[in-house]
Amino acid sequence: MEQINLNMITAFTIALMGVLTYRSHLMSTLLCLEGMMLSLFILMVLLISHSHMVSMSMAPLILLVFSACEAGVGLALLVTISHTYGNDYVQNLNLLQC
Amino acid sequence: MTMMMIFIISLLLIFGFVAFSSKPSPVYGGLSLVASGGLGCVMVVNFEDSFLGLVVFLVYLGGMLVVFGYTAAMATEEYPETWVGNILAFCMLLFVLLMEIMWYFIFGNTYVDSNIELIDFTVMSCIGQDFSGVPLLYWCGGWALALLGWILFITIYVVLEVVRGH
Amino acid sequence: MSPYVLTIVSLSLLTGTSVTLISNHWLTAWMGLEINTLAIIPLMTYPHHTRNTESAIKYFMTQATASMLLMFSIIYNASFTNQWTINHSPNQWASLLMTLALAMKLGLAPFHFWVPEVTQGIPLLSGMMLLTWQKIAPISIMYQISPSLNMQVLMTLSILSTLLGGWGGLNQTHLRKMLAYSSIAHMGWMTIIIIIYPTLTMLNLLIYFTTTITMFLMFNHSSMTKINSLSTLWNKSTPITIIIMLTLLSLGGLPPLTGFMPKWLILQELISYKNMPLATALALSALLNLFFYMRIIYLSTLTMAPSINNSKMQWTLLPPKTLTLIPTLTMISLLFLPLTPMFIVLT
Repeated sequence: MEQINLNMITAFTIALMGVLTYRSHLMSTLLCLEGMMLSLFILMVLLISHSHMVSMSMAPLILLVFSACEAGVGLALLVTISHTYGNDYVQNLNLLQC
Repeated sequence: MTMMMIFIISLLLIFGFVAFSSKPSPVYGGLSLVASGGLGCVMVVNFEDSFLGLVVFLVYLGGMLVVFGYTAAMATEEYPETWVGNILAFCMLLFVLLMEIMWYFIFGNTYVDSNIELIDFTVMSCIGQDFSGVPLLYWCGGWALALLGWILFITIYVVLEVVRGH
Repeated sequence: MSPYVLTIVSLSLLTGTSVTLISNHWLTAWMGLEINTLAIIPLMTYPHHTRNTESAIKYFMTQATASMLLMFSIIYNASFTNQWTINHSPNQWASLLMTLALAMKLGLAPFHFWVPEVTQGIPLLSGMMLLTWQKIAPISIMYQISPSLNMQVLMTLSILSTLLGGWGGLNQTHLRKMLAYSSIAHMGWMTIIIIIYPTLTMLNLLIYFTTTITMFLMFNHSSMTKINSLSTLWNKSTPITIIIMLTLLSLGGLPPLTGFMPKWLILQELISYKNMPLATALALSALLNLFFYMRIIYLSTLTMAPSINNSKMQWTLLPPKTLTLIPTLTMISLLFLPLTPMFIVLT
């Protein structure tokens, strides 16, 4: 149990590192956000089923709904920005730099 | 299924995470996210949470396939960027290796106890404990259900408002 | 923006913050934060311009990352303590992660880079919502877990944000960016006292809200976004220049005005805890803020721009914007220093 939990924490850390790194596509960042959600979901399911928190067993479903919402809004913003520039490069987002 | 198998699946899942977090072309990233979603589904099912596994399989993977189709449609490069020469992927793999070695030394011999049978097939019922989330969501979590419905409505509203006029 | 969209969006902003405020459970508090993030996106992208979309993307990315970090720390905490309630004091590493995630949401110093950029890209009233209403939910969570927060980390974050909030605003010419940096500095003032005396945080939040809303409403009244449009402000409305000067001085914390109250109490509390160096650094960093407020005051009030028009008439007659809230808020943000005991009792 412990080692699988630790592996999932590693997976979350890697996805977080992926969000924080600067590469060309904005889509990749959205994918990393989705991956963070996936690892959180698995961590939550493991915790709840392992320690028998029956009253919390609806929490993973709620988490999944929110991940769907975030993915939807993220994709909508991506579509908007790719309408303007024709691509989804992160380097285009430089209008507001200090 | 033994703990060892689940452990190996979680390792594979980490490799999937490295694959999309090192940010190759989104086509490959989406593909590896779908693959790690599938592996996560297998993990969740093997933890006796058959219902949540089903939900992940049907909903999350379904949604991810939509995302994957979208990325494939948006890909404009003729030869999408792979992991070849990606220093980030190398660093992440090194990080994973370091973490695994560190945990092996911290937890020592109990790191992977391969002889634990997680599921006792004699008492396994068709409905796991995780299924109780649904009755709870209809019963005392009814307000949460209402809130979730409102949030989904808001999301569709936000999406329509954001992409309107473009 | 169509009134239907505005109604639904503001209703869900209200829902999000209230869900966070009334929840005793980490999951629902997190849900409230998420609703807040999702619901403000249409307000930010409203005039469909690339700058608006860009700032919405930046805001969304930061907030999504921060809330996932918060969820991770919640799950981590639950796996150690088996508790999902907020009032239960969390595991120390989980508490550290929560501090960082909430600091990211509030825009404290090492994570403050999104605040000026996002505020500059969106309309004035959305910026007002972003800098005031969106802070309530994270800071209420921080208020509830304040006994178990990591003292050293939080103090470092807040002293850094008071310094950088003053420093970053020095060379700016955009009013929204200046107000964003002032928000960073005020967040530093709020979080530095949250472990020692959480009531003062709420007091500071209240007064920061009134002053910032007054500033934004006045900038919105004459549609000013840059510092050089301030110089012809006396042509449009003379009283506004005086009010802007006084409100900015109150925001900077000069004695006879309301803004002095939280700064005074916070410094006194820090000194009574024998924390002289921190109090000195805070008081000095407030000078940096005052300096760039003084630049606004100098341009808007103290000098009269060489005017090219001799009449008081504007060359275009815009429909008059509402002044409804400005007088009340101005009074609250200027003259309430004698009511300090009442504020302390109320908060």
